[in-house]
Amino acid sequence: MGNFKAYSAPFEVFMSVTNRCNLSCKHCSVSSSPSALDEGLSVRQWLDVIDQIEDFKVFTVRISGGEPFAYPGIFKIIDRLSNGLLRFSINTNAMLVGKEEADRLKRYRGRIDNIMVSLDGSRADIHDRLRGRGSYKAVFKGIDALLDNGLPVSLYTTVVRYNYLDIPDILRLAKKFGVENIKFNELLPIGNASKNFEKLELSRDERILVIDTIKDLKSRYNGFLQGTYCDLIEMFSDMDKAALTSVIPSLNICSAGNTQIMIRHDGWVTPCDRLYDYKIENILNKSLKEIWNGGGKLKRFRKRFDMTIDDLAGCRACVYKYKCEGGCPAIPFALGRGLSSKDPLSCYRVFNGEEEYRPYAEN
Amino acid sequence: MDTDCFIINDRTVFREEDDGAFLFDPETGSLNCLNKTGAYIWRMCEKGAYKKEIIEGLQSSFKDVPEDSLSEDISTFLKLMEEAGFITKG
Repeated sequence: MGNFKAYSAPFEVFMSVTNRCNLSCKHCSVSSSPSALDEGLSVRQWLDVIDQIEDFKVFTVRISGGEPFAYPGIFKIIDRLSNGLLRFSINTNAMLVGKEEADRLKRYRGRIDNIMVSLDGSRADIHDRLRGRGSYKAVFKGIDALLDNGLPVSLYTTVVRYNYLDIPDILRLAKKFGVENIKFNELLPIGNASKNFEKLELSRDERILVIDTIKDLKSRYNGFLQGTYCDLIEMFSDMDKAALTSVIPSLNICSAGNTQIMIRHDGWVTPCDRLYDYKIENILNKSLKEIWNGGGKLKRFRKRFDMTIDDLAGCRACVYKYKCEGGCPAIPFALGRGLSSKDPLSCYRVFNGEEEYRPYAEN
Repeated sequence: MDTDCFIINDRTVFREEDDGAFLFDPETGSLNCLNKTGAYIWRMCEKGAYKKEIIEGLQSSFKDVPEDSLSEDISTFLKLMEEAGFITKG
């Protein structure tokens, strides 16, 4: 019997309200595009889902997509969230946010925790190379409209081969904007990015440079600079001391299926946004409460929280296992290796050059 | 006063867990953890109990704690809840 006990309900529910997006970014971790078929939930169905979320005593909702503002009923959803007992955040590319939308959002300011806007370059040529021509100019307008209305904006940059040298300038731009913080996150082999991964992924040397850059900037912009690269720096900081201990830590108890759950545009429930294709059950067939408390795939997923690194394929013999918490299960899952395999993006042996980084290689 | 009773803020989310409860204020985003005793006091407030009744209810669980001390601890807790806007004196 495992010791892990799930909370009575999630703290946060991701609602991916649409699969459609005005952009089709090469590095998107969802397979979104303007032509994406959106046979998703209707506004009425989303409002019913929000009733369930509220009855289940969830605290916050994160609205994502696709692009949430490409969903025709987005403001009905926001209206409902604001009038209930929930707080919410929005992930957006901000390109469809003009003065009118920002002004409407201002009314809900008291309930909005955060509006996270994607920015992938400090210059148009860098940002537009990933997101499409004209997107840089449009995101600026969107961010300005949000900030002019006193809304809490943060930025999100996916670090890839096209923009890794631009990190200091993106950070300076973020400071100039006056946003709350900026996240520099790793590229994940998920969604559109899985098709472009080899073109966009960083080499080992480039990754080391990014980590050194962020380490240096973090000392000057602590708190303002966030994201998975900061988490990696933290994770790798004591690895050289791994041999000094003999206690194998449990695998990282992450938020997936623990404090968080995701509802996709088509009603499928997954443990988190990264595990987009780990479909547990459809919200149109079962209630959120039944899904959260039920057995099946979510229960199997949570078994990970009672495992140690010795339970992961390919990690038992690793000298760093005494300091490693196994990384993120979504990465090996996306690579077709199941949940209980090594996460190459969080592997110190890979980072340290002791093992070749071949995310798509067969085991 | 032992005859004080409290009205809970109906915009507060009270969520019970195995080892206590969470109190969440969606207006401010404030999230507080309560232990089992705190959760019991909250439930008593929900029922409109007087402070005296809360003390009596807890005395069986804290037999070794003198009544004065228990009363003081409960008062401190209720004051904190009041200051955080979760309850108001009825």
